[in-house]
Amino acid sequence: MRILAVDDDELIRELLLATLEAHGYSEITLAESGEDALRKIAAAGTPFDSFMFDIQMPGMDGIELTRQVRDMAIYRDAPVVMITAMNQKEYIDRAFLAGATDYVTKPFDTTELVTRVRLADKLQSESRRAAAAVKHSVPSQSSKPAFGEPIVIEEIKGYVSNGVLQNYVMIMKEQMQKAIGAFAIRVPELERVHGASSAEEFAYVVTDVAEVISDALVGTQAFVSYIGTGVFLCVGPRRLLPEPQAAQDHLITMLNDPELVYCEEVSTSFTAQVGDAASPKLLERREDLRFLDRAVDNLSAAPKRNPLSQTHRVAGRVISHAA
Amino acid sequence: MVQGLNAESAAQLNAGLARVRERFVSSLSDRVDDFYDLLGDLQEEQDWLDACADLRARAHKLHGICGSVGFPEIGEKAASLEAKIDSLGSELQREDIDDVRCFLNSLLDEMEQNLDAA
Repeated sequence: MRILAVDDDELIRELLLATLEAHGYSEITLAESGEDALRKIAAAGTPFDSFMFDIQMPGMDGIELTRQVRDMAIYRDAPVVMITAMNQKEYIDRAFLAGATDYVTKPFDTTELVTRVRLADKLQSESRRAAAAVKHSVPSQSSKPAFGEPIVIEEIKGYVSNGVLQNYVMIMKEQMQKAIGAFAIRVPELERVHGASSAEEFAYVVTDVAEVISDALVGTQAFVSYIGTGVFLCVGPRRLLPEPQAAQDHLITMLNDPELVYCEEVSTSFTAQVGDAASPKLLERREDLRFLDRAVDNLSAAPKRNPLSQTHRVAGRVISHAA
Repeated sequence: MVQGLNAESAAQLNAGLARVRERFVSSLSDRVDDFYDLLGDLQEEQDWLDACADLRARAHKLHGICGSVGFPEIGEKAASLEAKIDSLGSELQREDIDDVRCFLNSLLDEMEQNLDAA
C-alpha cells in the first residue's frame, strides 16, 4: 500500500515512518505541509492508496488538504486518516465532513495506529471491489446488488459510508462516551423501487432519499449512512437528535415532494419509520458498536404512518468492520 | 515482544522508536530555551499576543509527540497550556497572561525535571 503521510513535525513523520515500516508498509512518502503534499501527489507516478494527514499545520491545514484531495477524481474514495492532537468534536466533525475516513488522536499508540491503517487498507479494498463490480456489471436484474446491500452514495453533506460511520462512532465514543446517540429511518417503499427498477435507477432514488434525510437533519450535527434494506442510520450528539414523531412527519412531507425525490419507475408514495434513539452503554468498549444494532431494532416498535404500507421485518444489520 | 510483530520487525520498531526518543531528548534543551524566550516575550507590551500564539503552536506540537516517545507528563502539561490558551479564545486580554504564565511555568518545571533525569 502506497501511503502519503503529512505532518509539520519532523519527529512525528519519523515516528510514522518507523511504525509503518516495521509493520510491513514499505512504500511511504512523507510531506511536511499541505502544499508539499499536493506537490508530491501531483508528481506521483503511481497513485497513492491511502493518506494520513495532521490537521493543524502552518499554511494549508489537513482539513483543507482533505477537501482538495477529495476533489481529485482518482482519490474520491481513498482512505484519509487524520492523525491529530485536535480531539474536540468540532474538529472531528469538520474532518469527516471534508471527507476523512478515520481519525486517530495524538499522542498515538503504535499498535492503535497500525490497526487504523489496516482498517483503511480494508476499506480501500472493499471500495475497489465495489467499484469494479459496478464497472463490469451489465444493466440487468441479475447484476443488481441485493436489497440488503448498502450502495455507494456520494457528495451529500453529512452522508458517509457504513465503514466511515463506524469509524466516526468509535472516535466519538473515545472522546465523548455516552454523549452520542443513533437512530434509524426506514423507507419501506424502497423495496418496491428496488424490485421494479435497475441498479442505477434504484441508486438515484436512494441518493434522493439520503439527501432528504440529510436536509431534514440540518442542525442536528448527525452523520447518515444507508445500510441496506431501505434503512438509514443516523448518528450524532444525543441531545440534538430529533424527536421520532416530528422527524417522521417532516420526512414524509419531504419524501413525497417530487422535486426532492424523483421516482419515475415505480408509482408510489413514500412513508418513513423513525426509531427511537439508542446510545452506547456505560463501560462499553470503543469498538463495541452494538448500540447501532439496537437503533435498527428500535424500528420494529416505530409506528407506521401510512396504513397502506406493508409490514416489514427489519433485516438490516450493521456489519461491523471494527478490529 | 511488540504486539502483532515477529522478533525482527519488533526489533526494527523498537530501534526506530528509540531513535525518535533520542532525537526528542536532544531537542528538549532547545525547546526549554524557546519556551523561556516566549515567557519573556509575554511580558512585552508589543509582543505578548504573538508570543501567546507561538506558545500555543509549540505546546500543541509537544502535546502531539510526548506521549508517543515516553514523556506523557510533559505532554499533559503541554495539553493543559494549549487548552488554557484556547479557552481564552479571541477575547484574550493582557490581564489573562498571568494564567498563561502559570501553566507555562508548570510545563517548564516538568520539562526541566525530565531534562535533568535524561
